[in-house]
Amino acid sequence: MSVVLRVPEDLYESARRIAALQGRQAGDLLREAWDLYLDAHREQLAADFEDAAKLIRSGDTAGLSEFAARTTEQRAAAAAASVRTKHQP
Amino acid sequence: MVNISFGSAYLCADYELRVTRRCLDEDLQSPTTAPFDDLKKHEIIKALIKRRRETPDDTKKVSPLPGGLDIYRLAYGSRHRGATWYDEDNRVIWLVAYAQHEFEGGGDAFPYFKDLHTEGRLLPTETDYQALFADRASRFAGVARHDAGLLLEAARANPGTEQRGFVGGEVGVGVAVEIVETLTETYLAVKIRGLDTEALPILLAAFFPEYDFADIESTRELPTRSLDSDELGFRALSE
Repeated sequence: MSVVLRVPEDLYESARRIAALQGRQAGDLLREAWDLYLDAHREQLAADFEDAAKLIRSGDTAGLSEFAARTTEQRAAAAAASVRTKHQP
Repeated sequence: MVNISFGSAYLCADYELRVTRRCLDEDLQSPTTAPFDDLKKHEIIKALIKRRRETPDDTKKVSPLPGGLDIYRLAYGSRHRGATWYDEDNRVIWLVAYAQHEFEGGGDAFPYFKDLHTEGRLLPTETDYQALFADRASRFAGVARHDAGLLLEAARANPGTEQRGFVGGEVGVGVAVEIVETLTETYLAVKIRGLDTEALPILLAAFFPEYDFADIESTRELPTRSLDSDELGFRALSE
């Protein structure tokens, strides 16, 4: 299973600062990161697309919800750990 | 989907309002699985919607708290007090605590909020985030095809004109269709913000359900414009 990639707001701010130092836009850096990710994980994305398209074609909303929630536990653990690191006394 | 209750959340333009499980159980004495609609009769939930749906912060904080944590006070009348935290990374305003303020021999609500933080029980937990991400996955999956269908329909009715909108209230997209004789090319621009690797295959499948993945190409342009620096672009041709 692939690692979930999403740009949190604080990372977005960091990208904005780094991009400003380089005279570029934060969006350029983030798009490059996405392009690299898509190149490196094309086979995984293709497999996920085929699974999702099959569920959509058959109108299986419950199956699509389950598909979308595959990494919920992993993401929840990461979010809670981030809160503890940043904010717990 | 803005300014409506949906499952355990109240959806605003840039974030959602939620109540932590601990707050639901201990402070509001409500079931932890209660739909947001069922909570709306409570005074502090009325205040949460009224005061936080437009802006995440406020003038008064519960302070001082260790670690520079910004917890904002929420009040309804002279008695009801709440504490909210803007979780910017996950785009949620959490109601993290509630107490009745100096009522029937009860004490000040704010030391209670500070004690919860000292005990490490104020902020959302892994269980809260599990509920958040499960709700979002369900919401996105439930409406992605519908939202994509409406945008595609509008784009096909107006070839060469970009149709912009949101899918699942989460991901900003632009769609355009170009028709040349019997060929139709569909273009999709996707804003990076709000996108994650779990949503992308569903998003592409919602817009291109009848295609093979190999038929979907990356692009840096729509027929109407070059993509912005914070957009990904895709296109697919059909007869």
